[in-house]
Amino acid sequence: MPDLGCEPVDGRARVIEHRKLVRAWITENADTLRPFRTEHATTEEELDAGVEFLRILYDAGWGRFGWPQEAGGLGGPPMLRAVLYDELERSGCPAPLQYELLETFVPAVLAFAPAVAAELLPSALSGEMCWAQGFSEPEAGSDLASLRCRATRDGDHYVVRGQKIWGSQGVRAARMGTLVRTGALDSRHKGLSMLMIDLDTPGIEVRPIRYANGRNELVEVFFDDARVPADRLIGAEGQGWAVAMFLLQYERGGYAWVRQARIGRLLADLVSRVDLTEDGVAHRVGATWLAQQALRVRCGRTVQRLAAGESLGPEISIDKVLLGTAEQLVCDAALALRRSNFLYSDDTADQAWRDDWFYTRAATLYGGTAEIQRSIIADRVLGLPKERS
Amino acid sequence: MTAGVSDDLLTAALGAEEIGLLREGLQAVFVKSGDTDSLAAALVDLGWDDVVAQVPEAVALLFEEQGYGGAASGLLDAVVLTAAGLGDLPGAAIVYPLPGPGGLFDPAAGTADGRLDFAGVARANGSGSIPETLIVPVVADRQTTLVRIAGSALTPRPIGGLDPDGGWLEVTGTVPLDQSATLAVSPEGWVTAVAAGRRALSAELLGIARRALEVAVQTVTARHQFGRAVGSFQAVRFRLAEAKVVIESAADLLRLAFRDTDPLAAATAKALAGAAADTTLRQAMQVCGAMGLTWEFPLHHGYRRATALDGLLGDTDNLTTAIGRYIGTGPTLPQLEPFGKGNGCRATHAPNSGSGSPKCPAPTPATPTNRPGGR
Repeated sequence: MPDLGCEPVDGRARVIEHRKLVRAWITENADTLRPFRTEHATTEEELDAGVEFLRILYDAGWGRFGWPQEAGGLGGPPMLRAVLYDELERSGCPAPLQYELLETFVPAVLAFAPAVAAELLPSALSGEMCWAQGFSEPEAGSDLASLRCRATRDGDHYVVRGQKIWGSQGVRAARMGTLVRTGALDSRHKGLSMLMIDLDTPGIEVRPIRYANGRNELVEVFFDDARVPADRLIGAEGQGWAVAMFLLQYERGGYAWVRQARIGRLLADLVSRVDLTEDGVAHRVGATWLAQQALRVRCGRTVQRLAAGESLGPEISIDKVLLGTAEQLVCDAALALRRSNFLYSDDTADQAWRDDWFYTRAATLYGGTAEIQRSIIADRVLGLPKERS
Repeated sequence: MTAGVSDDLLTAALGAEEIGLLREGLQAVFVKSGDTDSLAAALVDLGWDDVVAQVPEAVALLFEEQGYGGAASGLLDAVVLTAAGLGDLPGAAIVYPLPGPGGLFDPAAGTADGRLDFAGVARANGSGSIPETLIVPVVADRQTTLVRIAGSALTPRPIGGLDPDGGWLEVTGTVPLDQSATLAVSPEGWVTAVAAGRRALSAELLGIARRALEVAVQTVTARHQFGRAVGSFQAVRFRLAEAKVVIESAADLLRLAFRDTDPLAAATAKALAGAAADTTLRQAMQVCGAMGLTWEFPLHHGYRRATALDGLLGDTDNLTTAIGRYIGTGPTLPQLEPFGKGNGCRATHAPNSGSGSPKCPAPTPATPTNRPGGR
């Protein structure tokens, strides 16, 4: 068991100390990290590099801190994870993409199915078995509760039939957390369940979706009577909506935190390439940095509130709006301030900016569109009169 | 009673009920007290000094309620003077410089040929009277100092301008520096004072924004068109949701700025609070319709006050540009720390500390502590 030396007096001090240790490790292991300090032309290459990097971070211990010991972690507050992503990105080294997914999904598995977490999390943290998430369907996007992918109980298995779409990181995923309908077709929120499905199960086909940036960022998954062990249920049957809503809190917490760290790295890169003596340039950079700080401070607080066991209300839709705004601002700034490179250069770095520009257009769609978030704020935070349907 | 943006800031030290009582007390004070003198007396009655002594963040509540109530006072001067270590200068008013030669964290007036060349604004003391003494931040030889000048030498002039109820004084002029007395304030003292002033101004701006949003929500809920509440139209709802987003995110920054003495935190909070007030008032003016643009409706007062306050110690636009320039000066891009900092984790971005590529890893000294195994 790795040892942090002296045990700091409180959680806050431990997080501060952890940051120092991570930062020192990154500096001392510059040679090991160098191969990961780069952009990748394809999603597959990026995810493969991420798997290698996950293994290194797992073996060094940093990739396990902040996750519970019962599930293969090394314990400590979740902020230890946040510090790792922050320091990696700050050093110019992208954190493995898989952490984005784990930050979103794992807390729900820990809360609703500790036994599944204990069994499956270690191989996820080490990069051996990567996860994806399957919620949306062709006919169930913003109206998620209308989803139809059906799971029928048959002895100690569920038989799954239907389709999922828009699964991030799906081209290299071994498992997918899948929201399925176990109740009647018209049961809406009540008849849903969450299943962790191994994607090598017979009857499952995963097809990449070529995203607007030319990369296979997403997948669609077809289930043709795939048999899934019933003990892979996350929460009880019929509890799927509660699991999904619980999970969305972490999309505004840990996931948003990874993304803000990434935006910070992108902005640092941009700052190194532009002339800040020009007022217009400085203003644009300043506005982008302010948007990143607004997101960072907001979702950093959400991370802490979730860590303290608070159940967060509709006001976390504010975090999601800030995320979409900051994601798009930094890429728009790159377009505006390095226009000729953005338009005409085939350098890897410039290609990566273009890829990110298209990728971040989805930041106001995934996890509930910007419009859905504003409706939640209007209804449940401001208490405005409801829209007519 | 609606919770304000500063509630979370205070819950660590005060109970919700206590905060509510303080807020009500302050609201009563700001409604009743027409000038700084009667305001000061009312605050003494409320025992406000004791509250601030116990909970320094209570300053946020004071200024938020001042903004919410639309009151004008010299309270900002008291905050700035106290933070500069000059709390014992009765009758003195700070002269807030217009954008000039000072830095991001120490805005100040310039000097030339031994003369102070000044353009700024001050708040009237007491019942609108001209202050006897003016405290002017001055930058000379790259050092910022505070100088004391007799009010008569700079002849402050009451002005109406955009915010005629704000008690503003225009202060312009050229004064030989030997007619002034340099006050014993370190350059860091002025940086600290500016940060304190920016936090107070942020709270006041957010109070104004909170009031405007409340008014707008009430109006669009009550008013019907096409047989339904105006606030049930998506376009209207989204505008006010947007206002809520910018208010709450600026409030989070202000919360952090009260805990983080890095002057960048206060500057960031001020830039976001100014933008939040501007956005909220514009959205409110749109959704309240023509009624919202009448003299009797409160929105124009809010817009006037917010825009005038935004101009103090760096308006949003200039702060944004200055921050953009500043964040490129260090070896790594500065990041505010919501998880706290200390023990050597600070100051990775000290001003003027080199111009290396932000992509370089931060040069961190090795620590002797044990590390997790297996490099």
